[in-house]
Amino acid sequence: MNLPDGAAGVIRSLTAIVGVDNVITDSDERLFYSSDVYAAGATCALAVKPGSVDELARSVKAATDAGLAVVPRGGGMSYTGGYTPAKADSVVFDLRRLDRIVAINTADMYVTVEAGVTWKALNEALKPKGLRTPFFGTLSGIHATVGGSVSQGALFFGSGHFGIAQESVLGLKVVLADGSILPTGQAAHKNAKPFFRHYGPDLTGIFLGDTGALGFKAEITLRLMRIPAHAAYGSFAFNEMRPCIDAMAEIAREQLAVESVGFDPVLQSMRMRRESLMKDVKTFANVVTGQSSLAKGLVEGAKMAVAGRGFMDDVKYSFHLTYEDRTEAGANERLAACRKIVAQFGGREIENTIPKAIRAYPFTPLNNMLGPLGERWLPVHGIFPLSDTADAIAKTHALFDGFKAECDAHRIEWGYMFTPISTHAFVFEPVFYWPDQWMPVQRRTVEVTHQAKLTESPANAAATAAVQKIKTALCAHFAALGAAHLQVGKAYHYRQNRDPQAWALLEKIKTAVDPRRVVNPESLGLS
Amino acid sequence: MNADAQIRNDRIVETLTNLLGKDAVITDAEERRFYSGDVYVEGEHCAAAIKPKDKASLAAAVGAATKAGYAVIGRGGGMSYTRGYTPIRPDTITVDVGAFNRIVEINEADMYITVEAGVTWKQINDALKPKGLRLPFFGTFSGIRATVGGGLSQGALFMGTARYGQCADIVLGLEVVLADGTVLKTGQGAFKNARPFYRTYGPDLTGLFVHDGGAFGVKTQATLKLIRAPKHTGYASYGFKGIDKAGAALSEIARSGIAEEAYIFDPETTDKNFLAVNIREDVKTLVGVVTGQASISTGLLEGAKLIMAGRSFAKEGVFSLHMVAAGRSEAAVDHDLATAREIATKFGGEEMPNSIPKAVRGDPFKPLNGVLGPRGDRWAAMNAKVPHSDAMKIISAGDALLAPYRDRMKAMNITVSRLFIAIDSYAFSYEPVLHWDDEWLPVHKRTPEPGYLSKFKEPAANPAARALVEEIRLAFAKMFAEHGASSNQIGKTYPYLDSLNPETAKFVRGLKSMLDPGNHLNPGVLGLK
Repeated sequence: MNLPDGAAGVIRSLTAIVGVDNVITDSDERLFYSSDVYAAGATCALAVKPGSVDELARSVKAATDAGLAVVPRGGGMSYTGGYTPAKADSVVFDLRRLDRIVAINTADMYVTVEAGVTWKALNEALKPKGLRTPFFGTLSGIHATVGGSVSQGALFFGSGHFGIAQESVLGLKVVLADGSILPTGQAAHKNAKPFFRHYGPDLTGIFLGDTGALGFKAEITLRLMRIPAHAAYGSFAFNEMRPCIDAMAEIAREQLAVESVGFDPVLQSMRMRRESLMKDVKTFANVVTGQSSLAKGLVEGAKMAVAGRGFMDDVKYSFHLTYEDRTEAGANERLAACRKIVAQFGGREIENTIPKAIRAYPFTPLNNMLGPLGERWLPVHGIFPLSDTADAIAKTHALFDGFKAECDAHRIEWGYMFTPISTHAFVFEPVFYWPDQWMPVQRRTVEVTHQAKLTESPANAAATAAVQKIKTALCAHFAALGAAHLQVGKAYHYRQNRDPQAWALLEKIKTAVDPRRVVNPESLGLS
Repeated sequence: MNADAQIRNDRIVETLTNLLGKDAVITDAEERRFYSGDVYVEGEHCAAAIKPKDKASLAAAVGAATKAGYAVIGRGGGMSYTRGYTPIRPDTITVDVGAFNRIVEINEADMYITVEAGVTWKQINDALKPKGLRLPFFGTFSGIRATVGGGLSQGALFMGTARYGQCADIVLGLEVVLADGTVLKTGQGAFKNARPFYRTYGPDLTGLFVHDGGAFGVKTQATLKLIRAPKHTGYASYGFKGIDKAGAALSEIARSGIAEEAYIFDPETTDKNFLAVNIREDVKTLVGVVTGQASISTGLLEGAKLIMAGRSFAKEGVFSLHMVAAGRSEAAVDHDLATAREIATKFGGEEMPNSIPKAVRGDPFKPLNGVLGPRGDRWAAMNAKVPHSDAMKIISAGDALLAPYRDRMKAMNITVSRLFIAIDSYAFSYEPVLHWDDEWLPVHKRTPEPGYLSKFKEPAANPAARALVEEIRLAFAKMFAEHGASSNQIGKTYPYLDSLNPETAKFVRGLKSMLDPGNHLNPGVLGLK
């Protein structure tokens, strides 16, 4: 593949800034950088890997001065076009070399990191100090970066009590289209530390959840909290969807669980299929979240293995909760309160293997980005009020019923996960599985030993086109239901359904920070 | 006023009257004076105050006023003391959102509440309490009058703040009237078919309008998060021999995440409050000591704890730390209180009766006799939010700042009280309050309970003391900025814009020109001129 016109000159300037090893022109590499877990974008002209905030700012300026679009990329875990280029005249910025933890301030309870620090690395640095951020990572946190997560919107660890990634942020250092650096939060004030978000209008939030449309997050300051001393775990099963969702919503309103995740019967069976590939305790944990090895001496190990052989066999719907508290009595009280709610809604308690394993190994290799037999994988989600979620699920079943012929013809399966956020929202996440060849990201991310156990399908454009058709219908369906989304990227109906005044303001902000419209064009639907 | 100005004013009054009706347009001179002053100072007198009854007419009135070149200032409960809503020019229309006093929806299933901007914290709490619900941050001392719109614009904090932060942290979405009279929705309510349950679908626009001092729009509605009220609550108070020890304990309690509220009174304030809550008679003369705005309840007296009441904490130099713990179980609350005791003990604290934090929680929204200080004095409160490790530095800098003024202050009977508040786990708020004797403004005469003022003789006008207080106040604001501190209630007092680095200041000015290109909305606030 030839480089587009105009790339040659900028290569020289970028090479001068970041060094020859960090300017990527190889065509396979550019294909890798131009596709996410779901789809390929236009192939970028080149990719660049800045090693410092200063290098980032200078190289953004060099690229935009040369008339190229600039696209930020963190851990590369997007599946909504978060970083896939909208046009070929683009430079993809791989920010993973911005991996310094700048400051851990235990007295003032904040941590400042560069954008490319992963949740795994951050937690490993904080844990010995008894600290963590309130939201403390995604299940993909071995690769997912802090910068990517706050740009895309992210949830899981800590989200039951502390909401999504954005809510733990105190301030940013943003690189704008022209290479200027915009600090937000208290660090924007002279002589100040970045400890506080709300002096005057909040400028930080504008750059969060923007999927990189407004600027490059170069540094992020997050709140710290002391890790609660005690944890407890609970797993519960239900025969029907509605009581399962209703019970989980009630648990959310009571703020009982610090994180929780539920599965429908299809995802449950996917887990069983994965399990059938596994032979021993060591790989059992992999079943749970795509995690690999359990540590030696983990007391729960044997128990988990035993339980893992059958405890989920007759489970249809299930959810899995972690409780935290400063006291053991408090953690147990939360568990007891959940048991009461579950009983009230007709559910039953099952072995708590899954939440325990998730907490024991929160950030394990992402073998789950392929299906249990090597299928392609695509999550799509909507965020709903707690009381609307069961209806949204039922209506989504009806939508898929309309696509039964396509699903049967192309062997497309779908199941779903569900997770409450704080006290006031529910994420409902349908997941597609279908046979097709793997994406470059999957080849590089799934462990080689795991890949060996899977079968890659031959290219199957027809099936993927059918998935795209259903996905498009699903996104429109969610928009009609008034859903919110994380990871807006280039996938969701963000603009069409918005209050025109709010959209006009966003357009003006975009113009102010990126007048030439060169930062991640088409992200959020801003062209 | 010259004739041209009079003609122009008559014209806008006519326009507004046509839009809003005669009773919603206030032109009486004394009323305009009232609307143009806050608790600290009087601004330029506005040309008219309006009290629209619905969003459409408010939007139309704002659009008409700005089109006619008038400044427009939104005003909530009127509890500012930093020139939050005082006009800097006479051709100003003040918008009283007092008629926007409906609770629009309490959604127990989805855990949010939508209120109009003029709803008070007390109103919300009264409505939520029977349902077992609460806001996470649930109000200010002035919550009997202070409104949600005002709190979001100015930066309200106190009740629940050590765990849940400020008002800005609990908002899910807004409805704002912009300078041109258009209505902007933020949060999920800005999407078709959607309910306002969620804040961050894409970039957050809500935050632009929090702590904006009304520079970017006039808030008409807000949706806030709900929580279920904690089932168990516990209280503790500790006395310390110096602010260094007390402050260190406050910071450690904040970092530990064990408190819903945690704050320190200086020795004089401790005396006044302690007597106020522990001695039944004469309570109301002794209130109003917390940033000058509090009224501490007598509702929860514990007779047995009067042993300490004979002590003078001021004489002994005792700083008192007060905290509220809350949780799902008694065991959890007891554990948090035990942790607090360990921390206090480590820093030399001695347990005191917990009557102050208990009384505050027992009746958080008392009548606002505290618009005047405890001796019928005027007051001016300042605040600096700093990282915990800078707390002693800013307190010492405050002492150093006051030192050269001490003689003159003494001569004029200007006194200082201090309050210290933990905000979430990561901020320490230092709040000095200056007190002086001066004639009362309309707000001081209108706000207290009937009969309360008869206890005092209104002081004579005291321009010399007033001027010195202003000088000290501005010196504090400057010093805070030099220390990189944050302040809420920026109003027209703190040098917000000047303390920003150039890139960020440019961005803020850009936002202002997007939202209010003619600079009609509350000109001067945030330093935007």
